[in-house]
Amino acid sequence: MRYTGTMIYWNADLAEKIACTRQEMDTLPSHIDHLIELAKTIDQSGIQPSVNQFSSEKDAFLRYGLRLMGEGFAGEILEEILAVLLYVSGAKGLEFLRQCIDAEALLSIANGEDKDTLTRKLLPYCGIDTALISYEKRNQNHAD
Amino acid sequence: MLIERLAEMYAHWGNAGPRSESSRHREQTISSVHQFFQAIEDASEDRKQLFTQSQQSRRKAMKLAYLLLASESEPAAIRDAFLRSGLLSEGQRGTRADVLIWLSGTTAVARGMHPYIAFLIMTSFFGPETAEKEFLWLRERSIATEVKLEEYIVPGDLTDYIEEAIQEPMKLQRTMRIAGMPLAASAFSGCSLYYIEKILALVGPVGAFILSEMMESARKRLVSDEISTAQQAFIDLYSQEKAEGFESEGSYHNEAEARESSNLPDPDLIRTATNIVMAAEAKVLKATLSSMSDNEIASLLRCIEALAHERLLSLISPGRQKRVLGVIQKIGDRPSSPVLRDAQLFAQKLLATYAPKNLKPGETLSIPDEVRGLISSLLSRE
Repeated sequence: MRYTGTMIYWNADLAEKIACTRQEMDTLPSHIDHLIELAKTIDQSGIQPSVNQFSSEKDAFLRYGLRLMGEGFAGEILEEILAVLLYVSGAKGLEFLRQCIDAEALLSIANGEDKDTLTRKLLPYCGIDTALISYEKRNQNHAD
Repeated sequence: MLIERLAEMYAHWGNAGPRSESSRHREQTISSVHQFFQAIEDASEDRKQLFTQSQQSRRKAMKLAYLLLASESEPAAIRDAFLRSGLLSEGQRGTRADVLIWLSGTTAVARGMHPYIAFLIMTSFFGPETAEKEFLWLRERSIATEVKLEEYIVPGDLTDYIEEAIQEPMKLQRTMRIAGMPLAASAFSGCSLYYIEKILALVGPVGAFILSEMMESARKRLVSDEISTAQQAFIDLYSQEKAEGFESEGSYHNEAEARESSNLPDPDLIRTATNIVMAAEAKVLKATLSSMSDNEIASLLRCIEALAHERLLSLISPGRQKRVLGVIQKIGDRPSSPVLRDAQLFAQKLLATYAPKNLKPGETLSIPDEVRGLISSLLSRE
């Protein structure tokens, strides 16, 4: 089920499902930090397929995505599976938005993207204002 | 982008709708997916066999899926057939997601995906908990099913690279993911069993099983020249990954640490030192420079931006300018003292110039606020 297009379709159902309050979105940068840490761990120690490396991950969505990555899945196949999981997800609001961020992070890590690309892909999910502030803060921290 | 794909699914299919709460219905659907998966595996290349499966199926969507695969329909034709069938229309028994399971599975098989991958796509419609449970079932099945590959070697450089790459399994794992299973399998199909075993240990049992079957298929489909081409493509990708990894080594490490180890100046430090040179009064700066050696001035030039170079050099005589530039040329690329130390030495000398010789206790230095703030910020850095 791959459809090509250059624009993101707007859909009322999806918009309603993904809608969050400003306060809820402000909690996302710390979740993004957690995902960047996860990417760092995978970058440094790889994935050990013979052991249950991520079995302690409580979030079923993230855990399943990591398991698939450990089997060597990436690119279009992983994207298709993650998109279906999001499509049928019963989660709403902040919980659903977090799943979208998790899926985006999983794909980015599996596709071998670097930290900057990962950050640039994830921060826009926090909304433009929070994303800009957070991006500036991260750059400032690096400069210090 | 993932969100684009998700938006497209919503635009094409609308809301997935509430999932059936009946566990019996759910179990029946999962059982049908297992049946479908088994039928596809058994049929292998001989899709005509699926006509029989179609006649025996009671579910309309499953019946249609078998019929379309048996007649070797194209993916686009499969989508049209499901749309025209009315199964996706409102008011049908079961949820839209139920029908989409069959549409996605049928399309995946028609696109030539491995049955295991089609199974994983189909089971993802049940949500992550059930999908993971089904994945674990598939994992056990993969462990129990052995793919017996024969020794078949296509000479080339790939084995040399693998020998080296195995020392850094993370990079090899990443290259395999980026290459994708079809390319990786085509490339590895010409390697000796010794290396294949080592490569398969880098992925889980499901991935290893799929790769093994793909390798077996590649050996039947491809001539040795084509396998060599795949090997070269994989080598190129691995070399690129290695080079990029080398350039951005520690891309997830602390940037400050990376800067320190590479002796690169901190941009914020450079900015502060430049602002001091630009903000200090000319006569104070001139007096400070006269108290510094040519080497110290040359070191200070490394700590400031180009616009401050001009100001600094304009405050010293042409003869001294030549000597300072001579020192810079001599230093060249040799490792030099830390930039922070040089900048702080300059700040201390500047401070000393501001201090009158007859400063009384309790009296404050008459330094402009901006310069005072900048000096204080520079001297407090560690």
